[in-house]
Amino acid sequence: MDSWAGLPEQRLLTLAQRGVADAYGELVRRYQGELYNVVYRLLGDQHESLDLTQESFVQAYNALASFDTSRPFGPWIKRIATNLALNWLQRRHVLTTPLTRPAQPGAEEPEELALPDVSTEPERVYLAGERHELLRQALLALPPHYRAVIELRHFQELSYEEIAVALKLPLSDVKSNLFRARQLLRKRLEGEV
Amino acid sequence: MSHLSLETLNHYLDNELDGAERAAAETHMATCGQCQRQLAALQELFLALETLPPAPLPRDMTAGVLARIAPPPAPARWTWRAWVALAVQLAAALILAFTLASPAVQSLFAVGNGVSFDGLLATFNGLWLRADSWLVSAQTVTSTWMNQATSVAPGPLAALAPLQWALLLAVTGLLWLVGTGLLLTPQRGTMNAER
Ligand SMILES: [Zn+2]
Repeated sequence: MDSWAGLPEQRLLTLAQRGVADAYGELVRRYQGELYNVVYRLLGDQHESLDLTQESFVQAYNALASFDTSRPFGPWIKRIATNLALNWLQRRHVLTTPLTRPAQPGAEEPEELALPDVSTEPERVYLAGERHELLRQALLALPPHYRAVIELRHFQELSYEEIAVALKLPLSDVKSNLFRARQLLRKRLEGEV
Repeated sequence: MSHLSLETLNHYLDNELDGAERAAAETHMATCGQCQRQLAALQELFLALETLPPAPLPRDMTAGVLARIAPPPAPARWTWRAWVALAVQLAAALILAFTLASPAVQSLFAVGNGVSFDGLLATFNGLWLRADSWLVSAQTVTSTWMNQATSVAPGPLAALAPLQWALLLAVTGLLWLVGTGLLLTPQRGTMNAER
């Protein structure tokens, strides 16, 4: 409804907390694009990303009573979506990792080889030469825990300390993961991988 | 002087160096082409990430989210309760009517016919006049049903005395109230849940 579009976020949050579903609908309308992109950068699959984005909104709604409405909604819901996507990646990683690893002496770290299969999406093939698409593919080629720090630092603009809290990691691990992830991205973009 | 470490370059771009560290790094880079190139390459990655355009949202998901957070107020449960209440009501009225219409009860009333029953009848009529619209509805329901019942068994029901009618209506009204209470229960539950 158009009348909701004019309301400030804080008012919508208060109304949503009182069970006004349409007020929450307006918040969904405002944030769905951004949130979908958070999940899509992490998962790289359109359908999974839509599902998890919707799930994030539902979980956030169910937890809304505990949310301090004086805080901005965006970072909070993005954190929920990020956690859901990372859990999903972990499960998917476990499910797709073969039980018996083929014996290949001197092979690279298997997780760094875990490239998602993107060859079946025609739009990707079509845009494969483009710089942005190269970057997307490079991001998806990163192991999930590297992808997570890149997402939180570069797209959600968290500090090292905030990332450590969000991922429940020691600060030193956050830094080494982040710097290593950047090196991997650079190599891939510069055509060394 | 040794080159800047990868960590220092990352800290530099993340604004995580303090004033002195930052000044030292800048002093070194001013005269070191290799560290300048390292920093520029890293900076290029930062810029690429910063300028990555958002992917288009494949479809609006507002309706999908709303469907999951605000389901319609349990229509299945409502219908179930409504039908139970209605069935209980009709069954009770049916049993009562046929009991009153049976020859044995008819004879009982015939024997005791007199002043006391007229008094009772007056009381019931008084109550009836003061009853609210719910009882009027009950009368409508009951009359409708009675008309149907009459067409099935015209003999005994047509012979019902006014007192018997009054009793029948009063008891049916009572059952109707109980039935209404049953119907209102889920509504109250819904209102509580909203708060
Ligand atoms: Zn140097």
